[in-house]
Amino acid sequence: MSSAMLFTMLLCFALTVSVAVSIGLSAIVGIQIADANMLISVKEMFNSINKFPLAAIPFFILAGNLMETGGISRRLVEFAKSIVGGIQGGLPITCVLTCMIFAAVSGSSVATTFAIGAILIPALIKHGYPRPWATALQATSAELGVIIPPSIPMILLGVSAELSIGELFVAGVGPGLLIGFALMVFVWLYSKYKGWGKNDGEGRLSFGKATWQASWALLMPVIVLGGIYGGIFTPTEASAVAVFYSFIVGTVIYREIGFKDMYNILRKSVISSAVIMFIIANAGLFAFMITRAGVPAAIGAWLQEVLQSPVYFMLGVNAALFIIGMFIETSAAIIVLAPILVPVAMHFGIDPIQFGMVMIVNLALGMITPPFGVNLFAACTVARISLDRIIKDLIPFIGVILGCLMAISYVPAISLTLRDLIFNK
Amino acid sequence: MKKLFLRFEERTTALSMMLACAMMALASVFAIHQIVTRFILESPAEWTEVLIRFSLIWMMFLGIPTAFRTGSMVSVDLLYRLSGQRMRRVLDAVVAISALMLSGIILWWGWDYTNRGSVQSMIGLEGVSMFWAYLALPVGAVFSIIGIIGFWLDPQRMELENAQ
Repeated sequence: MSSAMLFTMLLCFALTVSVAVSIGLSAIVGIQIADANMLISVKEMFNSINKFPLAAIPFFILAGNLMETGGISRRLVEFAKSIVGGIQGGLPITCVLTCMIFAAVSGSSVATTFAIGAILIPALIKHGYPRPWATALQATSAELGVIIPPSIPMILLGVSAELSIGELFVAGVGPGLLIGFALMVFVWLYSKYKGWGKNDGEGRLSFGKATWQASWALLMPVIVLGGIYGGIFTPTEASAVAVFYSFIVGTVIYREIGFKDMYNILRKSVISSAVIMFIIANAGLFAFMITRAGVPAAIGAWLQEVLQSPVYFMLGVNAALFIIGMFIETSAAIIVLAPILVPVAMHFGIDPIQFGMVMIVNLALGMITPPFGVNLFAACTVARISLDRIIKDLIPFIGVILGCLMAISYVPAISLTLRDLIFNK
Repeated sequence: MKKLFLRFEERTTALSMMLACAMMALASVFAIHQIVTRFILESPAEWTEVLIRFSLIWMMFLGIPTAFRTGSMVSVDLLYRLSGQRMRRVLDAVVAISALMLSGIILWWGWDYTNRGSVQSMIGLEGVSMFWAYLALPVGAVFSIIGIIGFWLDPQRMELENAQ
């Protein structure tokens, strides 16, 4: 049964059938072979999305779109530029820093690519950085969108592996900062080596002025994340607060959102949310069918037998996720794989939250590894360049993230220090 | 005939989208209401959580017809990008037929499930039948089927514009 399901899914993927439909149809094939009641299909689809913590996903998407239309990206770019823009290579460093701040507002990396890339890719090209390199830089930095909280994949991970979403969010800060700083150091050294960006500091605002302009935008992560960390809100409530806050900032304070924009913002948010929730519904059904057939337990037992120590387990899982991430969409991978892998990680004595970070960072890497990498597609669309032209420039960036991934895999403190501090573990 | 259908499809998909947006707005209002009652009035309303969940489920099922219609569903489109015009038409047909199959199943079994739900009432909101929550399944499927046929007749691929 499982092999028939896998075959159907891969065949559909290859024929460009959408991820959600491919997974749904392969689960239906599973129901047919197992001779189970077809009512399971709709029942499990409904149950998979009938979970309150998942409400945070559409709300964070809506808040992100409200913020973007409300003129936040431009202000954040100016703010980052006023801090790091003055040195040689300051513009690419600005790109990384802006993505880090934007990530603290938005839970998605494609949204980050569009919002920041639309401003910074043209600016980078104008300052003499090669177009393919600028594209690769933007695609890579935007990956921070799902690593720095709030994060849609972390919500999914929390729901499907029964982990605390609040703890996952807190744990994401360390890896996010590590990757952000590693990227900044890398682009700084690389720009020096290539002699790029000697005039990056031109036309930037003073720190005070830029901070003042961006203050309403900068306050959002403080309220949202501060509220979660301080134990005032649950992540779902924080997402609703984010919607309310960005709505007020966009309409009353910046006055960049009119009545007409409102429908477009809602429409865009509905489509993005519906696409993700439909994947969740179908992946939930798929996970139910393979669990019913005992596949996760079998894979778990096999993994424990083959990879005998935590060190090998991490290495094996990272290699597998790296390859899976090249082809499979992140949300679906998390819903199906997290319930299989997290118990095995716990068997090896690995903290499930730290293991969650490894999964998130690795699958985020999958967003910039061809052939299927949503961030690459988005960055290439913004930069108007074809995918194959940026691959050479992408390799060093992938190398940097892989280095960070190894550190996150083998140094639990990167993920867990802040979590232990806040949750008193 | 094709034109007439596409004009009809445009209307139904737009209607479904409008309702989905209303559901999204409604869910946001409920969520803010819940926070206000919890923090300011210090007595959280129990029914808001139920309504948030169900309005978002409705939002999803009313939102996917537009996603199908505009080709916004995430897919591994390597083959599509490598193919010529003729092959792309074949792939469009494969995509449409598989989506139709899934929507057909959701319609048929979803309607069955909805009817069975009419004897249950919502937990946390007693007195309201689960019929109204499950109804999202067949209703969304009907709009989706119309939207998918629209996609087949006049394919669009707008995956990235709406990706997260």
